[in-house]
Amino acid sequence: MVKYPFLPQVRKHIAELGIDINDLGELESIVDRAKVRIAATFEFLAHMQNQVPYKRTEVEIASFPVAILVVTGVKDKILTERYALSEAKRVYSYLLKEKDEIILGIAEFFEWKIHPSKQRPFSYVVDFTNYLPNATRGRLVHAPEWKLVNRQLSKGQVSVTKNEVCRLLQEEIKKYIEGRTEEKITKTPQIIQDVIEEIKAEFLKRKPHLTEFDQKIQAKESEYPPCIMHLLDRTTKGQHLSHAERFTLVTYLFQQGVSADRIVNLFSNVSDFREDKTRYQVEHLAGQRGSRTPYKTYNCSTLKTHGICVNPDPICRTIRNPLTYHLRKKPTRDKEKK
Amino acid sequence: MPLNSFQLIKENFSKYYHTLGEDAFLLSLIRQREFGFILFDKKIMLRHKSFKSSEALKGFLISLAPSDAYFSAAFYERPTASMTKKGWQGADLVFDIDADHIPTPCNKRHDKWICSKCGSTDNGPSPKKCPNCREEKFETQTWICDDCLESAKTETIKLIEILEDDFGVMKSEISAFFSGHRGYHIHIENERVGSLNSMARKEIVDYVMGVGFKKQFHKLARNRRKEAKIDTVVTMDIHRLIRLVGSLHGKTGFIKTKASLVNLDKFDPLKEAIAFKKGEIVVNVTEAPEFRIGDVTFGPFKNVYHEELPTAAALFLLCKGVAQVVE
Ligand code: SF4
Ligand SMILES: [Zn+2]
Ligand SMILES: [Zn+2]
Repeated sequence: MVKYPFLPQVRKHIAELGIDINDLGELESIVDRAKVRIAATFEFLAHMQNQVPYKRTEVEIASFPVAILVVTGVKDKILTERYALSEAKRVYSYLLKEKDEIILGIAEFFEWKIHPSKQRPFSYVVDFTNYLPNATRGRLVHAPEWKLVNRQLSKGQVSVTKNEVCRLLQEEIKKYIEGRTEEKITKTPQIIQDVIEEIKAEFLKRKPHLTEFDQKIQAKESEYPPCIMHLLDRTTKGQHLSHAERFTLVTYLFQQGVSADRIVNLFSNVSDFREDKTRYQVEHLAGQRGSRTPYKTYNCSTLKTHGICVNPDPICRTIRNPLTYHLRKKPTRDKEKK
Repeated sequence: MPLNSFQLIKENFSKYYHTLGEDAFLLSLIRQREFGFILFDKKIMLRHKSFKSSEALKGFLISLAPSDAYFSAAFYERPTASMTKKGWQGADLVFDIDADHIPTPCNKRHDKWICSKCGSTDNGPSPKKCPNCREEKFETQTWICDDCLESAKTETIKLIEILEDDFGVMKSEISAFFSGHRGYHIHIENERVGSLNSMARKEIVDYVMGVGFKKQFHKLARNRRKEAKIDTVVTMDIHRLIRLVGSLHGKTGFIKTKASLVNLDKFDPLKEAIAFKKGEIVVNVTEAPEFRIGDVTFGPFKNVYHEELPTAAALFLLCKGVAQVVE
């Protein structure tokens, strides 16, 4: 129970514990432990980690919902994500050592269709409707061995090893925790309110280091990836592009700082060209109309699905999105100059 | 297209919808679907509509007689709200198998390209460069025949086998339809599948088409694997508008028709999808390759005047834009 504080029976248990909010001593221990939970995520508040965690089960268990309450209160996407990830990873490490019974129980809590399997090296079969949402999240989405096309699939069941099922559950738990921080909170006791402020302040100090630097360097035309060069070529020749192809080209060029005017111009050779319509579409994708945030170019894997990825070169193997192609290309160019 | 041709198509479309029963559009969760229409006169999409019942939808189709009618594969909390405010609740899993995606030898026979620059023209799919002026820009005209419809059906049957054998989808959850033009649609209604997001559906697409297949993870070679050619965009788009079952296709006047899974190989779209079975219309035909409707073959036509054709054949040519009504 201490290991899996999100399970419904634990929620019930907490209710039965009847923790007395008025017993400040008790509440303080719980809140302190909750703080450690969150802090562990960031490896900040280092002094807090040295505190010996409360050995008392009640405190340990109750600290989980309190930590969620705090994270919810801070209302920061990155904090939430990192917190959920660290809790989920912790559960993953516990799960690896568990027997079937526990693993199946937790999977069932998430309404998975899962059965043990005797077909080694696999230990379970999981319904593809549970496999897919998790195998397309986090790091897994980029790994060829997690792609459904590379799995054994029969009658809707994907064969997975024990290790893999734990990894899939990690993603499920992460999403679950993120979901819980989206629940509306009505009233938080002052003591928790104080922690929210404290964590928020600590976190804001560190946030700049946590966010990746925005990529500002823009590509020159000679550094565009093969797929984009191909689309560009066809457009200047006035050939018709499918909707997905146009989307790819426009979002890419826009992200590389090419102006809407120049992009509209590019399409002027296409047979069904209408300036007003094209301008509207381009500005929409560029986020200058209504939608605000510019659309991001599809990842390479999606471009492969749509058949837009053509003649990928060795650089392509090292990237996940065409937008970063030129960043890998740069070093060779610099070398050439020398 | 001259106005009176539009008028005539519209009248006939409206009449067709009139003949349908009250329950012609028994869609599951009809109140939560978004509907869209393309009108003959204005080539714009009328979107974000919703209907309480099959009867209300039918009434709308009779009075508007749109060239094309669509419904969302998705179901929403607020189907009439703007895209971001609709409240997505799930979506049928949809596949589109279109002759456009399948190379068939018959396109040499009935498809045509015209160079946008010099006007050179020939049969078949457009070349890379115009043999006359080297330009790479073309207008194309596509047609349908038994061969391309048959190859679309073959892909459809393969897809259904993959869905049943590999994905374990039950026959009762699968519906197959002739789209009314160049292919087939497969709709899957299943709560678990319906909740899958676009990323998950992309994995299904890749599985079906073999995209990302890596040898080292398989015992069987790629060519021993069953694959089907599908439209990648349609399946991944969880907000997609899909042609309404039982509605008429604006490019052919054919019905989007349900095909029984049991005898799919014997299903004859050019027979089952006919909406207009009575009367004749006199038309002038500019140019049309041979085509079949039901048991009768028509054409080829080239500048034929005052041709009296059965309504279905005449409407097909009018919808294709290669004929005009004679007053
Ligand atoms: S791998 Fe990515 S960047 Fe390279 S050609 Fe394919 S889609 Fe473009
Ligand atoms: Zn030419
Ligand atoms: Zn054909």
